[in-house]
Amino acid sequence: MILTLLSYDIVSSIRWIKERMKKHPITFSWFLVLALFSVWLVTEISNTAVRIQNIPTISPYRVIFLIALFFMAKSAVEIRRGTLKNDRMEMLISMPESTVNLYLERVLREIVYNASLFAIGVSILVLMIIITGNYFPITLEYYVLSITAMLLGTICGTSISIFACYCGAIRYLGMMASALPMGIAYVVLEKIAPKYFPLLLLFSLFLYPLPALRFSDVWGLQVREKATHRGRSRLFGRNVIFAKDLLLRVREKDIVGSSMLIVFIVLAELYVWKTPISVPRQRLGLLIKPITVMMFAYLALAIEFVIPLMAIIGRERRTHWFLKTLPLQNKEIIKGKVMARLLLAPIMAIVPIPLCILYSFPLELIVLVLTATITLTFIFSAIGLYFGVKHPNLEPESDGNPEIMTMYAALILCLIYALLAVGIPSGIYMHDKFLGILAQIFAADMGSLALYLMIEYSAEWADKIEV
Amino acid sequence: MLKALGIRKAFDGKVAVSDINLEVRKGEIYGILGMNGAGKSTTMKICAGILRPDSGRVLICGVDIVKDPVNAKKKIGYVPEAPVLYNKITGREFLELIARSWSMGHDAEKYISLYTKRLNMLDALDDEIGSYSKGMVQKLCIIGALIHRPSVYILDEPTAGLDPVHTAIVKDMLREEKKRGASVFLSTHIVSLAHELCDRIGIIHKGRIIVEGSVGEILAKYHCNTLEEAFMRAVG
Repeated sequence: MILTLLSYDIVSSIRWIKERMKKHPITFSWFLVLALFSVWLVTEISNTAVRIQNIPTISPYRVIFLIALFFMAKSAVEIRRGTLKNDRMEMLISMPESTVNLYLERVLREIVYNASLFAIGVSILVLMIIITGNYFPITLEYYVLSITAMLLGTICGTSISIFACYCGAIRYLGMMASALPMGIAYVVLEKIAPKYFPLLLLFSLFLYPLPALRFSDVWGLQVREKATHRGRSRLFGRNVIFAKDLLLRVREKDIVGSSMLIVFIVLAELYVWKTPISVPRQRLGLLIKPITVMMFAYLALAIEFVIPLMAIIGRERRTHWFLKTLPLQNKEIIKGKVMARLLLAPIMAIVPIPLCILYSFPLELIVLVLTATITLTFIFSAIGLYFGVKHPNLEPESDGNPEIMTMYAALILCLIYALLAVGIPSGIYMHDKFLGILAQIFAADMGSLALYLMIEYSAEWADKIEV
Repeated sequence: MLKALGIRKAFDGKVAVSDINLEVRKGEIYGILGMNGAGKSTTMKICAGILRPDSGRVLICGVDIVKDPVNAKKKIGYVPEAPVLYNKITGREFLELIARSWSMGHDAEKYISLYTKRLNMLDALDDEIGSYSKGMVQKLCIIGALIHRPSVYILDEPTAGLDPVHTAIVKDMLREEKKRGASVFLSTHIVSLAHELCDRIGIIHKGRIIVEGSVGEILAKYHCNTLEEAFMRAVG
């Protein structure tokens, strides 16, 4: 039974991939090119880190820990979306099968998916090594540790998503217990001896029994939502859609998530500031700090604007009928949704400033960074909106979130546009500061124009979407 | 009030509805009856402006829904087949959104109160929609369609998920709206509901309206005593 379900899931996924490849061959090819490029980039960065010994933030074992962390986050999100919030699970739970076994099937399914992803990554890496020569120092032990990290991350992430559905103390205790192997993993890899790392897999098995036994109860909790709010609220703003989206952002704790992102970025900036960086060449030394600052801006803006705007239509898949029957212009609807998303844009724009101050940047450079962040806010929002309306994810189980291939393409496109929109004015700034700032202001104007035009075009595209 | 002129719609080459011509007159309840997958919901969605027809036109009080969707939609009250709403907003907030979208003034409060009382939703109105049962969501949608006093109602299986008491209340409300002069275009696969409520009925089969007329006319055409029997004969 378990294997039948598992094979059904795998066959469905393969069919889905085939369908996507057939439907969007260019997007798929583009995704492959980008994947190759990313692996090359990572190997180059790793090699640079090996050569420049004084960058302590990148070490081989820290990469292992990051792999575990990545798979933990991925599994937690996927189990929540694909299992705990999946109406189709009703059918499986009604079958004469114990929930312990059903849970096992979901864990195995997640392991198979993660292992496939891991295998693809490794294949590309091997391909790179063959093409470029065996220059990347990967040992057999390193591979074993990487696979262990993938498995450990999957088990912890699955367990976290189950405990996150509970209320009260059990929720927090369970989540902390689920994350415990990850904490131990860090200590083992960094402080004790990496050879003991695989033993953690045995330790993580204790995470299996309780979530497995309570699996069906947790699923029920997720599907039938509890009313967490009772009472009346005022709808803000003249635009009805803005008012609705704002209210939803508050109630769905999206605003809390955005605030946490800001705090996280600022803490990460403090960490980076505390980390000593010594660079071999003077010219690189001049650039490395502003680049670090802009990487934080990229990260914050991509998470806050690009990814959510890519879900602008997908998230409304089931409520699309409501928007379609409102006597409102499509432009008004899109504008309202974009405005609700851009609410925290002024705060996001100043997110890189603390690091600028900590690095003692001159005032004119801080102004340049601030203007560059504003430019990126407009451009990233326009790109997110484009993909959100042109390529919405209308798959029932996706919760409207952009699919990995589209998201990847959008994020790389953002990076390219960021290089152009910030790189050119920065180049001018290096020759003439005043002119550089003016060029950046001009780029910000162009960015706002791009967003304005994108809202106009999106209204037309959105009109053609049929759910 | 509602005119569909030769509408056709295909999905991925598969024709869902074809050559649909129908008219819902002022103060009339028109029911579209058909089996599962006959094309009822597609027709309703096209008439409500949710789907765009491949060819043909839909006029709402003389306004083309494709050319001037905003003005046409102002005159429509729509209830979908299986409504899904925003789980994290309350019923009252949802109705206020509707009232604001249709630019209702002080009347909004009056009608919200009136219809929520009639459909026994007053107590649950300040709860999040996510905590509602299927029937409550259906009732909320019906209230949402009623409060802005539209000229045309497009109701896709309006009594689906409702208990017998509330089904009767909804039927009464629709009769009242008819008296007010509104047109009601509803779809159903429940023959008894169509018989009881509709002035005229259109039977849709494989995307085409195969017969249209009052209950009496349809019974006479197929020489039957019940609408159910006539429906069975019509769809073969």
